[in-house]
Amino acid sequence: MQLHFWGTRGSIPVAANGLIVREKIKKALLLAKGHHFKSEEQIDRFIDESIEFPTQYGYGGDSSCIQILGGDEHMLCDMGSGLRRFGQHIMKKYGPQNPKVYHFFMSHVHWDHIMGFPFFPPAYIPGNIIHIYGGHRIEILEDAFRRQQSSPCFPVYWDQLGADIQFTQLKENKWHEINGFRIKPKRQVHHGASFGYRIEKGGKALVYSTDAEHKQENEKDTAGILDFFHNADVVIFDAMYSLADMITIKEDWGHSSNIVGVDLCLRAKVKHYCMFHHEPAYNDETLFGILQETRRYAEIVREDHPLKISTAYDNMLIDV
Amino acid sequence: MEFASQKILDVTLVKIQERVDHSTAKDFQNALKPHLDQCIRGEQKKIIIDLGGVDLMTSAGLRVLMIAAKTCDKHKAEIAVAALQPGVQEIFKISRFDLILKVFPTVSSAIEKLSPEAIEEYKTHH
Repeated sequence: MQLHFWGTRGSIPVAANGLIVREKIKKALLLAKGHHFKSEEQIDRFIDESIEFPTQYGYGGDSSCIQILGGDEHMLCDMGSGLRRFGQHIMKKYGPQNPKVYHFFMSHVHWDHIMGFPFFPPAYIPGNIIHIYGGHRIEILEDAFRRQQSSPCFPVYWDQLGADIQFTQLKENKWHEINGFRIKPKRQVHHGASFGYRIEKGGKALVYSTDAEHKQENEKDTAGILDFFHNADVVIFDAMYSLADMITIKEDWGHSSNIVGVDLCLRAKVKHYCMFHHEPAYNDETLFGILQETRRYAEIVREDHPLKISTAYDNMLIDV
Repeated sequence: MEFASQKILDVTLVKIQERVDHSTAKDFQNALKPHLDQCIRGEQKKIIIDLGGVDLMTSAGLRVLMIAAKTCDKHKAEIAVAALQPGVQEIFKISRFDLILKVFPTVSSAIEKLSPEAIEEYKTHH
């Protein structure tokens, strides 16, 4: 199983404006002062080895969309703005005359998780089959997509789409066999509820758990989460806020914090904790700083369990 | 987990020992409860938690602290934490709790700030 992150930002997509680009160029030039490069390869090596991640690359700004590779057909979680780039990639790779089957697992249908669909070219092409799965009732799922593609929100209406689109409600806490994977949805605390997915294949386990507020109010609820995360190879976790924000001004906003993720992943013996659904107000430097702090927190609190910690970024690939 | 509390004029000083994590957070909450109940009844206005004996506090423990702070705030009482060990101090910074709670380097500096009258009493006995 391999993961390709097409969108990692929470709530709303963000873009690097001219001032941000200028600051990155300035930092890079300052670091390159006094260096002489004889080839493009030397420049690439310098960028890779001497310029920190926030300046040389950054986290990107597309909203939630993750591709899970390893099945015969295409499989993704959520349809945030990152889906637009996935659609472009597919069109470039296969062209318009090559029908495919797509499986989408929806955490929920808040706007930042469905906004990529009107810009997903395969939806417009007859012959493609698109399965949209969720823990919510079909009417809730379908209504959100139809409303998004109706007047006055969008000029191409839902019924004009060419693909065969099918909605399926998955029973929560039950295993489902889809595209060669075993998949179990779990209800999460979020406005209108969201669903996390535990996805397994070939002895490997991935948990996609975004838009979830893990309050740790009682051990019974927490035990359910720990069971869901247990021994996972990768947990993609909503680490949108600091703990202070999560339990004060942003309480009940439906998101978790970076250090709650560490505590839950340590207790559940997770191997790789991947922070996701980044606060749109945070720039690349802030997200990079939070990653260092989160790793430090894990160093302080962990006893013997080693935990790999990363921050998801657009275009990141992970082998599970 | 060990707890002790003492009254210094109008200040209640609660002393906590050991780590505060998911396995001890409930004990921590129970230890604070009688003092918070006094705040709710208007019998208590100033609480200082001495964390000098706490070598580690996870998010579960921080949550208990925040509930206590919210309760105090709601009932116009003051709460502060004091004498954080370096690791706990770092956790406060990482969680941004240093920005939302009153944190003092020592118990005496906390008492001095919350109750100038109580500091003499405290110094006499320490």
